Amino acid sequence: MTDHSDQHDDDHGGDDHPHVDRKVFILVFVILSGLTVISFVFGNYGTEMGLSKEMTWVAMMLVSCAKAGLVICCFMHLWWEANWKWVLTIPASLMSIFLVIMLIPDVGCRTNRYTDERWNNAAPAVSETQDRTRPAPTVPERDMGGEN
Amino acid sequence: MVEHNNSDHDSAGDHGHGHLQLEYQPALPINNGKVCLWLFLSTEIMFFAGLIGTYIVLRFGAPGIWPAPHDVHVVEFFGAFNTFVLICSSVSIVLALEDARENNASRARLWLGVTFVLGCVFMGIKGYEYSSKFSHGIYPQSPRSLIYDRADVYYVAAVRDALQDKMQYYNDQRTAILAGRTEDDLGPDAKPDFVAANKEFQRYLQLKRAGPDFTEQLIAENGDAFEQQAAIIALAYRVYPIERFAERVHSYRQTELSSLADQQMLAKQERDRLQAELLDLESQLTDLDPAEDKKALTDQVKFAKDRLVFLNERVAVIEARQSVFWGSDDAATEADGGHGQGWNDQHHLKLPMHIPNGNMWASTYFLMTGFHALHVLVGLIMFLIILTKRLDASKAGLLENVGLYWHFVDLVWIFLFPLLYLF
Repeated sequence: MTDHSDQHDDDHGGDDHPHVDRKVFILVFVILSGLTVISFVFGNYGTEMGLSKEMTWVAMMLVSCAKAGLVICCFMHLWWEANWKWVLTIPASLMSIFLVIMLIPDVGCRTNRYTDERWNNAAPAVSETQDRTRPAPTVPERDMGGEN
Repeated sequence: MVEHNNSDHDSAGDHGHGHLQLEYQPALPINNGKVCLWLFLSTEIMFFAGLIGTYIVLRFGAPGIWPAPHDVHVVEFFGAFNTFVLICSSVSIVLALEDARENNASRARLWLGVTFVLGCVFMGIKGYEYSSKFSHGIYPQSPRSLIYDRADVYYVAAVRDALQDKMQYYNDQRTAILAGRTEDDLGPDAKPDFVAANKEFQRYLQLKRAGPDFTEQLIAENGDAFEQQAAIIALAYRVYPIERFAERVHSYRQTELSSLADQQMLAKQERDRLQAELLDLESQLTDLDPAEDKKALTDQVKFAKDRLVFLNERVAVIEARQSVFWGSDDAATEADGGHGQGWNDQHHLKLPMHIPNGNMWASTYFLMTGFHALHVLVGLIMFLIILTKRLDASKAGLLENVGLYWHFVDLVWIFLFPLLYLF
């Protein structure tokens, strides 16, 4: 916008906003509600439907991303905004997404490959989650002989 | 506008006159308020991404099992309903903005009022959820939190101390009512109070005998680490049942009950034998010549009496264990998966609870929902301020910015809801 039109058009925030039919908002609202129900169903009955726990997590996060996309595009009007919209949203989103994507395998899944010895030294006693049917993990004999 | 710039550039390239007709653009083509708000939101995205990253590290990196929602009084439906409330409020504030742009001030205010009310509903449900956790002793920090991550001897000692405090309280009450008199001397006004206090005292005495006292004795006598652990988990389960331990506690119940019957029989046999022996000793004592030395016999009598006191206490503990600990409420416990059947709920107690990783759960839950609730609160304050203004087309920019903030709050909840309620 030029200075001229800025002064002229101040009360409209200086940018044009296309007229969006209210039916669009209602439609998006219905979709969002439906997606909420879907993630609720995945969360509570996902394992009964034969999905693994991890798969229900992935499904729920995908649903959440879809919902977030709808809210950003429609309710926050980003769909109709000019190209400035990429300047702020892309870097922030990339940093957040990369942070999360890097943390999941790096830290989040680190206990997946714990050895029994590592488990023996883990914070809560592993015996809490065990019963007699599974023998206690044995600690390998430590090599005490090394003088050097 | 972009096309306009491009055509400028093209024409400059085509003609090459050296006089570029460039349009000077000092900033993003939106007003300063909106730029600032989007800058703020982009930092907020990273702020909440940091919180969610913390949650991933603490939750999925935690050894052991994370508490299931029902272990920590999280009700999925409330979370889902709150999601719905926030989505509704997002729609209503969008409609308020549309009305303001159409210069329909009264309808814009109506929709903004609806948004405000929905935000208050969200906070009300959140507050109810918090209070249900607080009332069960789930706090993010230690002085009030009753959560123990491990079921070990320290946990048993904490349960014992808590019951001891209760007994002490009612014992003090008892002695205050008695005030030096005996129970029979009490007048009709003081008698019911004494009976009530005494009843409470006896109740906690039975709980203490059946729970921590028995468990500590078992730990002292039984060297089997598995049985020690099972007994402590059984105690923790009786105090605050966690569904995933139900099966294990149930199978332990069978083994312990059969061994209890043996112990009870042995203790009773020894008691009967001792009582006969005592009678015999006492008759010997009376038959004795007064000149003879009585010391050896009186020592024997004293030893037998001490042993009898011990055996009576032992039988009382075993019987309390059978009736109070493993007794009749077991059928009810199994009926609803053990939920809400612990001593804490049955007796309105605040005994320490064993929830593996429970403290870490409380920290992350209260941190994330707390920061989100703070954002909701700020939004509600802004709504209140704006509601005092006339929301015509001149206020559309303001309303748009507040709306963007509110949508962001909704956006955060969209991720928090599955992470905290459904994972």
